[in-house]
Amino acid sequence: MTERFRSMNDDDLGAALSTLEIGWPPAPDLAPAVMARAASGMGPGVVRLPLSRRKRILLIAAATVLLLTGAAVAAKIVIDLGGVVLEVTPNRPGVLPTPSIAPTGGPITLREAGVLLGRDVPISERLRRPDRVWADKVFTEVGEVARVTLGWRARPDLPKISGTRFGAVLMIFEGDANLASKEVYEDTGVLKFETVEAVDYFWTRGTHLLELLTSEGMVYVRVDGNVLLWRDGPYTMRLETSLSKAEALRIASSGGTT
Amino acid sequence: MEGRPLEDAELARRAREGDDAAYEDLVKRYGQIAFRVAWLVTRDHAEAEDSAQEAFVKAYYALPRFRPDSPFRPWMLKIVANEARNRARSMRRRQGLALRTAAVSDGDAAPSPETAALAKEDREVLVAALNRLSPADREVIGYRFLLGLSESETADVLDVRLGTAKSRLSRAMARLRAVLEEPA
Repeated sequence: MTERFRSMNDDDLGAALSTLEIGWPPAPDLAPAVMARAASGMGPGVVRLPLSRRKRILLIAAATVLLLTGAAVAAKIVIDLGGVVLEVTPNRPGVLPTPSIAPTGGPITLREAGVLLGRDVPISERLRRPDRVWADKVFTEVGEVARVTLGWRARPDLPKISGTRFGAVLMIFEGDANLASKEVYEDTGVLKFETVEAVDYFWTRGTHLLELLTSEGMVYVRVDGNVLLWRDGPYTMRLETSLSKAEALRIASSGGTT
Repeated sequence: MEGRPLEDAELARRAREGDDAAYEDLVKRYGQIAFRVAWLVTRDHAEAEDSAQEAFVKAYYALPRFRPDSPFRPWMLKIVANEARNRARSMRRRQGLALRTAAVSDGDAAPSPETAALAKEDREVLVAALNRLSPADREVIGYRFLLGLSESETADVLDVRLGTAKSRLSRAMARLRAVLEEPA
């Protein structure tokens, strides 16, 4: 330590640090790329949904055509619904976890869930009141974001989801922070797109991997159930069941409130 | 109004209302410090550039949730730091580039008065000591002193409370002092 530093207190040392001229790497001009992505609503390889409806339909149609034609997709197709990002990748990894229900957070009441989300929790007439309600909060760059999960136990009209004791699980993601990512594999999964009463729905069937940001950190869950995803205002909805696409769509499009 | 730059709050307000030119001004205004924040975390040029770019895009989409009565810079830099940390975690090559002093030689153009306050040898000793600190210590010292963020901004970017940021900075300074006392 040079004598000069030895005699310095923290304030003086801080002042010395402040006068250092660091040889920073040259900063790139970020504005053109940022503004181009903002204007298009797309990042590299990303199909972002919160666009005008016309653009959205065109982008989804393009992605769907690629999937239907089995085109060798060199890169991932990424569909950003806000709370959940759907990624379609060519091949599934060799090893996946055993199927299970995704971490749900702590138990709360339906009323508390409504307060947390700032709206009544939409409940389908077909599903009726949930047997369980949970909530998790994750801190993201846009602040604290809530995820509410509703669970319905398996019953005759709601067959059990593989690896769980539930017949239906509805996750409600608040806002646009990407809390979850679903990897759908072209070789084992199916992704379909459907519009019902002006709402765009994504249907995935077959094994996929759910990456979920929770208050405990990132978790990876294998999902074998059938999953329907859609946007409901500022919320992203994810309904997992063992039901057919038509039945799941009926449930989703009949969401009343508590 | 011509010739006088708009305040951040006004630009952010306009950007929230869909004025892309206002947001572009904010990107230009804070592009450099955003890149440096990201570089302090990743110590990789490409990762820092990607982090900063991604953060500005995320912030653009998050503008509706930005509180207009809060300062834009720390909000933005916090998004940058989070993005950079996420990327740094997934970087296989964790050993990043070292900090170095600016290429100012005593014989060339006259150094700034600030630089002149520290002898060349002292600057090199100090930077070498910074490079021997842990990434977390270097990050907090870097935000506060190398980038000149206020204590409050440093806390925001670190995503901790002000008191936590102060104690983290104090501990980092103690460790810097200990490194300075070690034989070179």
